[in-house]
Amino acid sequence: MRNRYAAGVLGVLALSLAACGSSAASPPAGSSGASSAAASAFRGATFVQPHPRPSFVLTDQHGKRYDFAARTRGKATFLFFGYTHCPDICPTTMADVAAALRGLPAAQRDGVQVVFVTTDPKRDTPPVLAAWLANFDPDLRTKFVGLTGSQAQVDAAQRGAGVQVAEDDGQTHSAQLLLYGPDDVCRVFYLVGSTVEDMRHDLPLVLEG
Amino acid sequence: MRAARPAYVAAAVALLLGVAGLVWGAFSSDTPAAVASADPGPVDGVRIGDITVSGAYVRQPASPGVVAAYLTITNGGKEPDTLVAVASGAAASTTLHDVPGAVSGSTSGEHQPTGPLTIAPGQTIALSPGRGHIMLEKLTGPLKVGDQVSLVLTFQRSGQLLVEAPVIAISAPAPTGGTR
Repeated sequence: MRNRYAAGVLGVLALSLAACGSSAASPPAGSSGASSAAASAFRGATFVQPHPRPSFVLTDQHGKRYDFAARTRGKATFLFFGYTHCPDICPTTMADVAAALRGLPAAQRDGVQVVFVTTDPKRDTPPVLAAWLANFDPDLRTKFVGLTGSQAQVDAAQRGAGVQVAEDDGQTHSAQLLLYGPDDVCRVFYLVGSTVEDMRHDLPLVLEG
Repeated sequence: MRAARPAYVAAAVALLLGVAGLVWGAFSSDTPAAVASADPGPVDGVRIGDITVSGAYVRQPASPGVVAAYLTITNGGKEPDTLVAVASGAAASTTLHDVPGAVSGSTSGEHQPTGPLTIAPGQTIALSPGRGHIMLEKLTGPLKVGDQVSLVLTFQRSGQLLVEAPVIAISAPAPTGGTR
């Protein structure tokens, strides 16, 4: 059964994520390439090997072509993969990102890009993404970007970003919220249990490079 | 995944929806007893038997038709108790999801129904974003900030408890636990 398979895969993934130092308590995990947050200036979890900003082209919530690498190059960027029918960590994550941004001075806040890529492209059409994202950023000057595409395209985007490719019509997806710096490298990411305060703490560090 | 939901969950929900109809009347004339101030439990908790439930909230849905409720369950007794079913007057379908320990891989953003949830003596289980939630689907109407969502929790030993979960704004900080 597909369900069992996904659960099995995620059992393994959960172990690797748990070893990524999301609570800052675990020692560095060699195989996952991540280190304990306690060893870095960041409160989020950190990569030993920073991940470069990926390249992918998808369709945004206005139905326009969106070249992720070209449009976000040189800008601090949050990248998250999820689906709008998610009741739990997807809306919470987007709300937390918005809350973290509200804590920054406008000059910094307006430069930060937030990109949500659906893992459920069948249901998450551009209008669905637009309606969903409007819940989170009504007061923010830099609007959140929602991206969709073919299943193959969104799968490729996840691989490019180095996150586990979602299963189960996108419902079983990575919980990693990636944060790229203006230098186009991701050193820090956030897992379940990270707080708005963690992001507020880290954002100025990331913006300073 | 929904199609593959274990039959017992659907059965439990169906059963509870029936039971909830009966319970509703019993609770409607009588607000749940607040925990006495001398009690070590949270002040906003409601209690039945050894079980105290506190910190319940629902974040206003961003997607129509689906929303999560979060709450904290404490077993102050000397025997284990088991949450066997959840139901809500606000939704046609109510299921417990992704509770860590009750389903593998729940830290990774998956979305899996959780079976009956046992709370050990003295144990507190806090459902919070990414760490378990009660998923409400097929909402009976729109949820606005300030609304109260009724949840009926059925515990094997302690019985049924009505919990009122206020609806908070999408942008509001989580009242309890980690925000993510």
